[in-house]
Amino acid sequence: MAETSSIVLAVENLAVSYGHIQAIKKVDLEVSRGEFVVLLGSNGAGKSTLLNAILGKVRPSRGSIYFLGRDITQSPTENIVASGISLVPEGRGILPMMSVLDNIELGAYHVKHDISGDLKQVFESFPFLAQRRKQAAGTLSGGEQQMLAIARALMASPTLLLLDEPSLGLAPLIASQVYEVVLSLREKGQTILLTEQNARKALKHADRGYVFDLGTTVLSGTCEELSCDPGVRKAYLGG
Amino acid sequence: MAGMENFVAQLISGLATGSTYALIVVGMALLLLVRGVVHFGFAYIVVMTAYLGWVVLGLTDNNLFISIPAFIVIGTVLTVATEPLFRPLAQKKAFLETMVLGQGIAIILTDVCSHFFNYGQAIAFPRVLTGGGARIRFGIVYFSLGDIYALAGSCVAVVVLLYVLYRSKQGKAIRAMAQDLDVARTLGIPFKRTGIIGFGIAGILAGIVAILIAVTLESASPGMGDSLAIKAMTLMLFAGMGNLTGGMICALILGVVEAMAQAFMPGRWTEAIVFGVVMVVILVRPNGVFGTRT
Repeated sequence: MAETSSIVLAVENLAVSYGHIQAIKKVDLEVSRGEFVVLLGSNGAGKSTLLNAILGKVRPSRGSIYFLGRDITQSPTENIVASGISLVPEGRGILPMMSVLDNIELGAYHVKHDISGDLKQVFESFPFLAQRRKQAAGTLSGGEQQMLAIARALMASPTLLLLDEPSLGLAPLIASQVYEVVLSLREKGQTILLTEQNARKALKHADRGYVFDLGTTVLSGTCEELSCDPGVRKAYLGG
Repeated sequence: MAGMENFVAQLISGLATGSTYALIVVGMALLLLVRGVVHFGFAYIVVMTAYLGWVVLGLTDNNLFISIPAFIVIGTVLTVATEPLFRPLAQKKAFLETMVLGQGIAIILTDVCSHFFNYGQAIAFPRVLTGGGARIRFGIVYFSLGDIYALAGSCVAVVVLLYVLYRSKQGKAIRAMAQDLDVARTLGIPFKRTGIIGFGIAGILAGIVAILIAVTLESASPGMGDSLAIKAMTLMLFAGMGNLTGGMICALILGVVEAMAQAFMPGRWTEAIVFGVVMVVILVRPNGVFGTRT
């Protein structure tokens, strides 16, 4: 792949199995620099598995994953994170007994330079985290924990930000706030790949989308195209 | 007030013994946190370190400037050397198997100590290290200098350890791994390297404990690992698995109770009473007095 390409992430012909169960059968997908791409699919469609495969946490049985033109299919997770991919995991994945500040600082585990500037920036974007920096992260509300997980991922200044169902389990108002944060990141040029079960919001804001079903990318297109697709309307937009 | 003097002296002596238990418990708790393993062989590594340190003392004509760092290096090398053995079990979360592995290490080390050193006899540490039972007077109370060194040494070790665990990046990585391995991996915290660092810190503690044993007990024997390991395991269960502060507090209490019982109670009922109390507490609170925590 060309070094000058604007393609940040390319997944080609990917398959992932857990024992005998094939979680991903065949997935092809691309994310370009500055793009906000959404993966739609119901629970168990293989969205989380794909994100975990990109991060090197599960090993594909077939296919390749390229990040900035480099094959990372077999790279260890720590190298992939260090090279510029951060994941906001499903269910937020905060460390509940560690302080808010510890959680945020661990997001910068691979950052070599002094992080005080990044820390200041994150606290400016999320002032409530600054106020509660000494509090155990588990004492935050669900929405606050989601913001913390995003703040933590941003500490690594990732080239590609992966978000796994960031609005899952949040009240609609809080979910909207999370989306506002994601959109403000996109405004700043952040490349984003986000999974979602609820397509309405995602399709409204994202540039492009892929529809997952039974471990396969069955549809792809711009969000306008997907919103008009009868299958998508039926399955994800309530008819 | 002869009784009072004796009481204070026993208290200090008990705290000194308890602080060596505390460091072993903290070392084992650290290994539990970083790898989810119960390293039953850890106390035996301490004894092996004491033996090898004794050899270094002999070879260097009791040069403390060489021997004391040698204890630390030996403890660290021996402990880190067991990390690759535990790693595959830790990856499979094979918790019970780690106990069997630790037990195997324990038996081998005990046999090595009894076959290859001093014809299987207990070894005695030189006066230059133990102070030869020197005492200092504080008011009307006499303290063993060795006990004071041990107590001060453990306090410094614990403060440094807590600082590293709670303030340094690697310490935070260790705590993150202990709390949620999957999240730690997501953050890009390296499993292998962080584990080795954790074993390394525990190994430094093993070296320090070996020195403290040499200073306070003035001798070591091949069977010593058994008694230390059983006490350390019991303390861990009693305090709550992986609970650092709880483990330390319980270890200090055990040291003091032992010393008091030795001085003020007739016969050899100490251990029966101590372990009897432990049994009852475990029945009432299966997660330990202080609970499991990171």
